[in-house]
Amino acid sequence: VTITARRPRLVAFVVMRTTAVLLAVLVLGHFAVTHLATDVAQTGSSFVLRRWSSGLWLAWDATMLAATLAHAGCGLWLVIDEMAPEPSRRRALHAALAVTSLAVFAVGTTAIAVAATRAVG
Amino acid sequence: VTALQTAFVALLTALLVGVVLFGAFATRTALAIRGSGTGGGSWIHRIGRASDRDAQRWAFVAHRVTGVAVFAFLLLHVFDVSLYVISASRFDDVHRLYGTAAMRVFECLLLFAILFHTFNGLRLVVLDVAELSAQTARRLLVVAVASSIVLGVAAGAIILQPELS
Repeated sequence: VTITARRPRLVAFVVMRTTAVLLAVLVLGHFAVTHLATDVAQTGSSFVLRRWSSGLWLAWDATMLAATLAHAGCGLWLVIDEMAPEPSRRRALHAALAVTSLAVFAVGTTAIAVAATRAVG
Repeated sequence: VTALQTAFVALLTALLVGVVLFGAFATRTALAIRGSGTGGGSWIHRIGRASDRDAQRWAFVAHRVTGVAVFAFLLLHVFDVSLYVISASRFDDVHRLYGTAAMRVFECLLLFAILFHTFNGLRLVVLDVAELSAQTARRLLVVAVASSIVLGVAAGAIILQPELS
């Protein structure tokens, strides 16, 4: 495996660290409250209805989604850089990553926005 | 079994296979980079002789593989939760799977991956900010692994509780 030297990517570096600390709180908090305090069998649609009628949880989930995709996007971008040194393959994988991340972001934020609209209305 | 449930299980299986293949590839790459000078023997002997640098390298591989694994699950999880705004009953249809014994075991594995990635990740942030020796970095790794195991086992007991009782 050839590892090509690259210039430090300051933006990716800062985004990775900032979102890392944020996600440590958001993801562990999400897991503890959603999947430990409540049994998974009890987190059906009535649970989601209650959960997403709270502004705090809507904001929590939206922030968590955005931070996760930024963190994973930057992380996987660098993983691809290292593990796929051939330019054509790297470009294809980078494009696939960008499309996947944007699609998940679009689906997730749309769901949260629709739930927020219903909660208000 | 509904079509949506089948689709969920098929996608989850495909993602799991992908993560295992990625893990095998990342491990093979790490072994290749590791090179000579570490001696032979079984993997357990090699772990026994592992230097601080080897420990860092395995933490690096585990961080990468758990990161990919959690991201893979996120892709599916965002879609299954988003079903809720399309139809609450379709969401419940897929969500029912999460209560099965197999999915509870999967949830425990996911939790271990999240815990290790979080604690090792916080260790890496600390190492970026503070100038620490390789020995201290390795001790922090032991703390990260131990915390993941302790919290993972405790939380796993809660998740598996309905199956155990």
